[in-house]
Amino acid sequence: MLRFLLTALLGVITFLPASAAPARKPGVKATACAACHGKDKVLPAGHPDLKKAGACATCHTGEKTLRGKLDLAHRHGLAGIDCAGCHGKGKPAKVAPAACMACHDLEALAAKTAQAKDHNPHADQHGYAKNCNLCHHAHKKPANYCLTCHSFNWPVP
Amino acid sequence: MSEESNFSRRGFLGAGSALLGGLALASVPLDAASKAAPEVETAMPRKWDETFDVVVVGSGFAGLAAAYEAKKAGASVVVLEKMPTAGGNSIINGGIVSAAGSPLQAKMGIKDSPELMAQDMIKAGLGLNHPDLVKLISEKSTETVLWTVNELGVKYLDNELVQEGGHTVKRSYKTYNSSGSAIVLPQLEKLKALGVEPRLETYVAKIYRDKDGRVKGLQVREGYEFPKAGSGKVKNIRARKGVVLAHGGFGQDVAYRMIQDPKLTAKVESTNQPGATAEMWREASRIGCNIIQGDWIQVGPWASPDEKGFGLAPHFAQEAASMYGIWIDATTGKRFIDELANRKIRADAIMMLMNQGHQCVAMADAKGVSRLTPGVMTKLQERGVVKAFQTLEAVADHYKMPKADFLATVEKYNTNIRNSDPKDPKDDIKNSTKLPQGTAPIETAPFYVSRLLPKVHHCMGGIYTNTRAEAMDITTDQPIPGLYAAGEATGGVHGAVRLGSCAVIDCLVMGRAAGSNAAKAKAWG
Repeated sequence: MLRFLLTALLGVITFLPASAAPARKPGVKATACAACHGKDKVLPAGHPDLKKAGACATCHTGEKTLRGKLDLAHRHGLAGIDCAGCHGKGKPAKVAPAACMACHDLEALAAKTAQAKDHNPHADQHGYAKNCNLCHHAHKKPANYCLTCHSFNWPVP
Repeated sequence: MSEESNFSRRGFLGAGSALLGGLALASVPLDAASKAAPEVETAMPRKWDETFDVVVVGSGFAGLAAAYEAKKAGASVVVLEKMPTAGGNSIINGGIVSAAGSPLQAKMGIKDSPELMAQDMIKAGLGLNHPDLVKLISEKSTETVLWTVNELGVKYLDNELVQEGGHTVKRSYKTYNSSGSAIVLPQLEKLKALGVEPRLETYVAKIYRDKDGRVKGLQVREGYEFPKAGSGKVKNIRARKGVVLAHGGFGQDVAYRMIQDPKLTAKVESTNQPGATAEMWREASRIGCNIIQGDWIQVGPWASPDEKGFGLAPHFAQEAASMYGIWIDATTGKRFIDELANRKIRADAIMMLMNQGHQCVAMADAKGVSRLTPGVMTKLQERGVVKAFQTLEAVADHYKMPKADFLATVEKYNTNIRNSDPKDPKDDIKNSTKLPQGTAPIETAPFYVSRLLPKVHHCMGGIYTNTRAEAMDITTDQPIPGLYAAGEATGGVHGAVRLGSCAVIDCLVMGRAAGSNAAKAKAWG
């Protein structure tokens, strides 16, 4: 019994978030990591100073892509799209697909993913592709909504 | 146990469950003798956050049909959907719709009538079907399919009708993409044009039924995150004319389905979308709906263990192998069932053989698959759900069948077909119905095979309604004022066994009836 309690206690301790994601601060530039992250090391050793480095995409192409490493919110931020760029001004509201479509064209996306295995995720017959939010999440892990019923294993940026 | 003590035990249980029910049931008198009025009222909310004439629960075929008719009749309408997508099971449905005596049947020289369709439904349903509902749906089947074409712009294949198991003749229209999405998406578009868009992630927590017996509105949770109970913000929506319950079945609700049919444990897969759960079934019961025939749960015989859910296998196993090929018990190399028998007979046979460790498969040749929607066979083979073989011997080898028995099985079937009139082909096993036109011997390579695994598919039972789609009260057998129901949420149409392609027409006919009758109802308050 004592052993069980100890294990349970240890479990609780290890579960405590060591470096949980910090609270989001509105108006902070995506390149000012310390404004939210404080002293936490968020960039790999030897990474150029973000304030001096040019556009991320000059280095981060091909295998060095930031997809899967940084969430959509950060990637938008680093590309110069701030919170209001998606959420609008004032109290941030849930982003409607129309806001995404202002920059991302669904047909162009469908063309880009036309070779995906089994089905094209951006041209499904249920019309789900029109709702970007089903798969693409800016502040949490993206999820492949098609897996609800199918076994289509696509990476979701 | 004497009758008396039995009675008092029931009384005790009743009191216990009322206590557990807490506040919601606190006003229900426990005196069993005062049965005159329905005793199911829910305390009305202090204020209504919003008001509509007609409030529709669910965004499948039935809910959207109800919303459309109500809106067109001038009512203000809202459609509530708990999932993050509209369409429920309907949008992933196989896209075949029954129509008796249709123009397409006339064009193809097929004799049919609403009476024959009703007869087929009641035969498969073991007579549990309510005849007035079956009659209405059969009689309205053709005009309703034509309504989907002319009013909604639904596209069906021009020269193709499907014959699902248990139908005497080919009578099912087939959507161009083999999917119910070909009907749901036009429904959604038409509604959008009228200013109605389903409110997604909106969960119904409570039906408000007042002291006067009338259903007056719903308590919902906006921003509900399926399946998180208690998520979302509470809001009360008033329904001035009526609430339409079109919340579908409970195929994915293991706990509830095991109460109805204990065989259907978590081990049994389902073709349904994950939102097919029973919360509204429980709520409808609580407010005094009469849930009938809930333990008749259909298991689809044509699904595959090699893909998730409904998948694409049923198109092959039914529309090719069952209609123009054969189903085989691979362990014996022999046929085991009339491939055109109803779904229950076939699913039961497969499950019984599976329990003995046998593997059942469906087979059709190149001619047999030629009528399938283009692209389906390619996808099925890419997924490894259907495998192609150049010879029958190769089929036997792959599935470890006794070769001589398997070859003799195919030869016997082929001889039956060859020796019969091509216009009226006959087979001694496939004899529950007329064989489809175009039936031919299985002899043209490649030979295609899928493995069969029955999956939970459809709830035949549900809320008891009349032909006006009014939900009936458990106490009085009279319509519950302000409450309508349609589609898989209702019971009594299909009885013990639903025939394939009859659910869509049920949903559309009764959904439209529910919407137009709710819009015509006298408003309260």
